[in-house]
Amino acid sequence: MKVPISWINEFVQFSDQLEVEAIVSAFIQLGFEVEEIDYVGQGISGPIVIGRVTAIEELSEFKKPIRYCQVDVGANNGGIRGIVCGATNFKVGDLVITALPGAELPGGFKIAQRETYGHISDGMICSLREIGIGEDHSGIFVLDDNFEIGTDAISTLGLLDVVLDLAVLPDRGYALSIRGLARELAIATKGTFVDPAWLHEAFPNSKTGGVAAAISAKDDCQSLVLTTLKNVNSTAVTPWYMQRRLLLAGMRSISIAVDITNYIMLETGQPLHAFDESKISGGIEIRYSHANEEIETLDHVLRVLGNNELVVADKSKGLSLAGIMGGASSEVTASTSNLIIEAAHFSAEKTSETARRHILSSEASRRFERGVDPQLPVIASNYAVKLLIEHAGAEVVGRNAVIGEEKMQTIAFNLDQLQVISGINFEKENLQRILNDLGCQIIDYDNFVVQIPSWRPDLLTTNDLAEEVLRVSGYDQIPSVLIGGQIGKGYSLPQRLERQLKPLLAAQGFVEILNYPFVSQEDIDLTFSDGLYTVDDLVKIANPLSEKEPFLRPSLLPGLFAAAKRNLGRNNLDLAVFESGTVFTNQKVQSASKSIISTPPSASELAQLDAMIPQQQKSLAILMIGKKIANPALTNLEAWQWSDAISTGVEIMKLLNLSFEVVAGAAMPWHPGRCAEFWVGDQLVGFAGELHPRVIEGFELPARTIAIEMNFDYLLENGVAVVPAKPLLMMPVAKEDLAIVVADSVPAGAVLKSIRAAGGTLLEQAQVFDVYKGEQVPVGHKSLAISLRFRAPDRTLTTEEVSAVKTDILNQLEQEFAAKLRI
Amino acid sequence: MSTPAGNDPLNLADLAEFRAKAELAIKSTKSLEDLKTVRINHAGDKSPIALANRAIAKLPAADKAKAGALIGEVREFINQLLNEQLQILTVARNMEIIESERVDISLAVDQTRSGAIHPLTTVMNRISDIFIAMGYEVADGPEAEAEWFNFDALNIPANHPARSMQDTFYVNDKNSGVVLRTQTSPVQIRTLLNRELPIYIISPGKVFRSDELDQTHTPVFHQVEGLVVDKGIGMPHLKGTIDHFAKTMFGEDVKTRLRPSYFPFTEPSAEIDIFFNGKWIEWGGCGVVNPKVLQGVGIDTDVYSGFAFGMGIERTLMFRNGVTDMRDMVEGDTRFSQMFGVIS
Repeated sequence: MKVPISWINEFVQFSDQLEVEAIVSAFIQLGFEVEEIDYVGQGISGPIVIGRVTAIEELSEFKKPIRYCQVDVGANNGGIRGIVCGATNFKVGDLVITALPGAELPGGFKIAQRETYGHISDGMICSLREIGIGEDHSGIFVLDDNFEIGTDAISTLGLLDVVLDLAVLPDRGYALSIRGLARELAIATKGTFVDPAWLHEAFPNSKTGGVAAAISAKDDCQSLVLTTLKNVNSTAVTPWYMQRRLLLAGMRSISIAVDITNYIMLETGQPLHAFDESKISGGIEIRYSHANEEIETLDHVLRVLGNNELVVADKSKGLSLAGIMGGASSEVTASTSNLIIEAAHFSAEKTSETARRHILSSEASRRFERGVDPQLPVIASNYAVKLLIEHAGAEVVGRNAVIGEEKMQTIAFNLDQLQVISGINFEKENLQRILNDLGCQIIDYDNFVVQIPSWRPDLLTTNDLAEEVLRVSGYDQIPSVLIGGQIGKGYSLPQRLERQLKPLLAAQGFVEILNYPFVSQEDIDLTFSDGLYTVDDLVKIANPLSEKEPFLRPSLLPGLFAAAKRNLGRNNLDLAVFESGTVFTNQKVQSASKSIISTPPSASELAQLDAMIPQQQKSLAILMIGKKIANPALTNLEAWQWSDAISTGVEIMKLLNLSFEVVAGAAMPWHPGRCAEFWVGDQLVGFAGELHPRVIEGFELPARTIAIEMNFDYLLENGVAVVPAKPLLMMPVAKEDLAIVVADSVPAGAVLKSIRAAGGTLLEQAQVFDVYKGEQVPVGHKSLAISLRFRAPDRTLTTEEVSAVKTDILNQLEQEFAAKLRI
Repeated sequence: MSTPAGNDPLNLADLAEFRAKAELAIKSTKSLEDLKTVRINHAGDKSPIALANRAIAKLPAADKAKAGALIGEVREFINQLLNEQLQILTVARNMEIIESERVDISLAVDQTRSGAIHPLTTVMNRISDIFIAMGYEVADGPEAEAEWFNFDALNIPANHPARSMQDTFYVNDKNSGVVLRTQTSPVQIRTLLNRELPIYIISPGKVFRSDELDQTHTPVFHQVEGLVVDKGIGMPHLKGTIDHFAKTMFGEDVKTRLRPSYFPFTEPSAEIDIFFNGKWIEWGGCGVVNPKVLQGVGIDTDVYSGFAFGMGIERTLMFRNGVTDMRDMVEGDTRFSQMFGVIS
């Protein structure tokens, strides 16, 4: 909210004049962020005076209309001066702001006598923007007639001011007003606050009459005050003091009636609305809308209402969206003679709901959403009547009001709890003073029962009062007490494993990146073209940032592909990247309706909530592209190949101390002949290998790109909490080599698995060290050379013992794979 | 020159000559190979001194002892010289080999793969370590979350602005009751429901708000929140914890300031400012847990109270490490992570 300091100061009496800095820091301490400090009129200096235009000569020989004017700036300022002006929105007799030679306008613009358009221009007549008030530069500014020629404009018009743009927190509706902010400033600076609302409490004693008022939507409208006025001069010029304040607060001057309602809203916080009485029929009622009821709002948008929205209506139709925006059909115009001023109290919830539904936020809705003082409708109506009489010659026809019962909120302030919350031992007298300043009354001193003022609907509990007390005392008064040494169990096992694994991946040269979880249908189809994920399996965002990417990733790979492409585009050609993140799939047991959850929630309600959310699991994926070492200057560098993906996968499993098996796989997006599946027990936990050429082509990745994706949650959650140690065997090793011939289709891994099973406890290690195909090996077969290591825990093995095991192994291989010993 | 070979009688006068010749020969050697030959010639089985030694047997018994002593002395002299020369030549040979193996080590500098952990991860790890050291535990929860956990349980009313489609990603449709969590606070609710009191946890993690990506905004970002619920907890404990946290993160000189603020789930609430690199920077939000939130999950607020705080990790990284563009953190450019290695 933009607040001219001069306006606030009207209602705060200080013992000493306060510096701007002191006011700013007072607001910050109270919880109002000062987003901008605007020194209005900075740099302005006279002579700038009020003058009257006495003659206008139109100069038509130029490309644009130019006027040579005679302006009477008063005898003390040299009488009538000739001034050239490019604006045409004024006439002879108008009062204008005239900057004379020697003057300087905000922004460093110096005025001097100069020759232009064939005349000597002896000064300048100014627009509002030129004198630093607002942004209007459409023409020069014409003053109302209440000013004297020759007077100093800077002081008379108040061209110097400071405007603070204060951020008002959502629970502080009262502070969206000069009234509320002046009270705050008085509290913080120990000034005396004069409540502007009380100035209008009893004025004037309006008679009953005029348009009738009714409320049928009682739950959402507490009060309605309708004042009917006649003989309103709707073309009266808004007095300068009011225009100036509206402009500084960031509002435009529209018409006397609208300006007065806006002015009162800014000063008191009560939104008002003016209707043209001739455009409505019958009385005014606050009611709920019917479905599909239509109202054209003042912004000329036709709003189609839902059921149960709050409208201000006459007997035939809805006139305006209550508390949000007026309607076009009853708008006040220059010809309006009879006015109805509506002042009502609408509920925060309903206003917020409707404003959000129509994506329509207004000065009025912002205030009602945050809570408006329910006592204000009468006060603001009185104030409006006074100003309309004064400035628009209005006469009161009468007033009809429905005033809801005022609920007095009281809180038994728990001082023990205050002590816990604040860490400060407040004296009761001190508390009473703070609370009184805020507008609260202590109605029971012994039990410290606090009556809350009508403008503070946000104060409901001891915690709320504690915040107020601390805010006024200063948060810097709160002591700093470090609690520590709680009994914690450290990181959980999955947390420990993840934190240990990531640096090891980094040590192997992999770079962690973090991608967005949003993916497109196209990328999913391209990655999983075998139909692993159909649209039904995916989690969709109702309101995605990009319509192209409405899904949550079921795999990290598409995101890594996209990131790889960005890197390649930036000439990062050799990549080894990894990501650990959540992947999502549909739970398919979605409950469509929001259910009411009890307080506290029951176990079954919590289970129901958990059943609603998508299946989510942490995934770990790695992508490797190009050379293993990223150095384009070096030649003969080794490129990543399929086996690197698998061996990296194996290393991960070993580092996590998991027992696993690797078998050939063929799912998308993997190359069907170069894909490994990783199994832990009967759980498939991941894939590694080369990507399918179709995927590589589709994502425009370099040939032979390799990758890994693992169910990270499974790996981390199934880690071994305590690793059982085995003694290291110290007896000598017996080494044997074995060459066997098997069919091409037999995987070496299957042979080794069989050897390990047949080798029993004496076989310590079996490894393939050569694969041979060609002469001496039958077509369709291969020779595997395998090294075996035998060791016993307690003795040196004899040749006979080793031969016996070797025979067992060969028998098993023959039986299982028709393997022949290669001679 | 007489030769000691054959059956010539032992001539003790020759010993001096053997000695002199051996010394000259040994000292003239240039290589271990030379030395090997010299050793054979002057100390080997057929060397003059060896032959002389063998000739002792033919001497009269009375002369044997003297001759033995003289010959022994010469042999010892020769052997010592040989050993000394062996040392010298071995060192020289090793020096030569080592010199021949000299490489340009600077070539190896560019032959590595530079792995790295994303700095957002390392900042979160650092924060977790700080709180683990204070006896907290690290809690996590789902990213696609029931609206009840993300809003209702946190005292955020149905029409709160945060719930609008401009701010929150809804899953499936606006009425599904499932959102991408807009804060890590739902983890607090899950923790309050699942763990025994007292509770001391932090929850780092990913959160989502529908802002377009630009230099200072990203729709997916990271937060860390802390929650303490115990007997007699209030603002002083919050302040002490934040002070300690800030000092550990930013150095002993950092100053902190709490400013009144508003969050539906805390009351009183505050913004956390830190004075860092010469200016006040808004770091996060905090407050005493609103008793309504605790009551909502069945905690007796006459006995227990708590505090909570939260801050953005991206923002922390921006002002702590001087990252100027949010996009660098999210585009996956490997050069960004590589700047940091495994720390930040």
